[in-house]
Amino acid sequence: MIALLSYLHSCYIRSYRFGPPVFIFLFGITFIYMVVPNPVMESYSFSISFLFVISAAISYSMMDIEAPSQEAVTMLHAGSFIRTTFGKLLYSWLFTLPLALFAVLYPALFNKFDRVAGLDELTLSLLYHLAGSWLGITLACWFSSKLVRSRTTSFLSLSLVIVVAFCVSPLEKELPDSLKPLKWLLPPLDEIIQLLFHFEDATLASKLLALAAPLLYGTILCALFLMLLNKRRLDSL
Amino acid sequence: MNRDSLITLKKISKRYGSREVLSNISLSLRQGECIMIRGSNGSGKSTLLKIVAGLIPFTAGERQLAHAKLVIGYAPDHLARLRMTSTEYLTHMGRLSRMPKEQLQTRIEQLHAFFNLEQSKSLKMTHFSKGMLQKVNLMQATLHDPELLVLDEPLSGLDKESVQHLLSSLQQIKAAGTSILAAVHDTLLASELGGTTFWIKQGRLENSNMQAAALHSSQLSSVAAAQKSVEKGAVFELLLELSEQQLQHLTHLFPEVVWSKERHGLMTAIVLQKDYYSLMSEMVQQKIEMISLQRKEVAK
Repeated sequence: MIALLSYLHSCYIRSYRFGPPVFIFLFGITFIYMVVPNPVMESYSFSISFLFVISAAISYSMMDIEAPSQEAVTMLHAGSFIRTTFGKLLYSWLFTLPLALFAVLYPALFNKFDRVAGLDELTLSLLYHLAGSWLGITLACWFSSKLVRSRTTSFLSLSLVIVVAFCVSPLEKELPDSLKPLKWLLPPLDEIIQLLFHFEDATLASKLLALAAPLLYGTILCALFLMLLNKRRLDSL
Repeated sequence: MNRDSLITLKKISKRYGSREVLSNISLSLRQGECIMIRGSNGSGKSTLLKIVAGLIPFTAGERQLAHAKLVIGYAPDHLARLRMTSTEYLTHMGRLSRMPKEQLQTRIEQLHAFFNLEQSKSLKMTHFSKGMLQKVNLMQATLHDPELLVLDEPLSGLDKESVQHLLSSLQQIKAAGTSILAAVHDTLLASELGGTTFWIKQGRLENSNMQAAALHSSQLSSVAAAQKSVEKGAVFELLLELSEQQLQHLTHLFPEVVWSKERHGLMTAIVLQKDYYSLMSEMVQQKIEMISLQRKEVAK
């Protein structure tokens, strides 16, 4: 897997596709914290939402980083289509790690908050950032050219799903009681955002649930995506 | 499966929706054997190669390998211009295949020397010509000393010099005992590497050598002009629109012409050179409409 990640890193860095999402994220975070002071966890809920969108953009470009002919060659050398595809998802997630660290440490180290953030808050916030980025990555992979041929359709569909992920609570309120369980089918980004807005009052169980829900949801999406692609292999190209 | 076969396809079919690209394809490839697949654009050559390489699933049939760890090298019809040097690229591919580091470095050096790319190994592939890229394509396919080399139109778009060099490289690879399965457009690779040539027509595989042999044997019982025709190695394939009566008339006049039914009521006629001019003249007299005409070199 390290060899695959190293190869994907060479391809991604040299493609310069990382430039726009990384620049927008770094610029956005520094811009937002230009006004001080800020509440700690509420600010992190914003940067998690921001990282969720940026991670989706990174995954969207990463899944199609190779030309179809090269993808066939990589698959034969790596010996497994599941491994190469999972490698792309894993690489996308690892790529968001420094972004998550920046989002957590920059405001804490440069006194952008209204108080000093505790170590437990910083650690949990980093984990929430990573859970949010994993969710964004596993959602966006479904809209790569492997499953949706038209770039316009895939971009618009992904944008819609991202908007829906931010609107789960309002949508739930509008749904009749019999359809309310459908909420569990929607991306659980809202779990993290709502929790961070009421972090002081939240129980440990709810804090852990807000962390586990996007990770589990993302992992299920990832498993289904890999199963589907393994069945089709390179037929989609 | 034959005992010597590296890979055997049994009644393989491939459908995309309602479109059947390959139908009942059976093929067996032994060690050191060379098979060329020919056919028009979109006939399913690349699809067949991808099925052989295990890159895409098939709808029906069976694919058997000599052993589970059969090493297959695959060279697609073109390699992407990556922003890395050929050495970096091959190192990545070798590491993906879990080749030991020292063995990989030695192999990369060998391949650069073998394909005459030593001068360009520090140049990024974005600056490579098509011929150089095709060499790197073959280098990655042969990185692991494959038992079976699957090549998708390896000579397409190359200049004369590159073609000559690639041909001699492939001849050496074949001489080392590697089996080769290649999709080709022209006869050059087939004539240089020998082996069996198959045609894919409407999703079905036809052995052109058997076809040529059939034509050849019928010619032997015919006049000397027919022998000359085979020596020249040319047959003509005509796609015609004609009635049943016209077909009977032509069959009577030209018993050696091979007829086959096509879609939309059209007929294909495979004509030897000796019959070609008289058949054309008869067609004009009969006002038979010709849809297409193709001259084909018969593999000898």
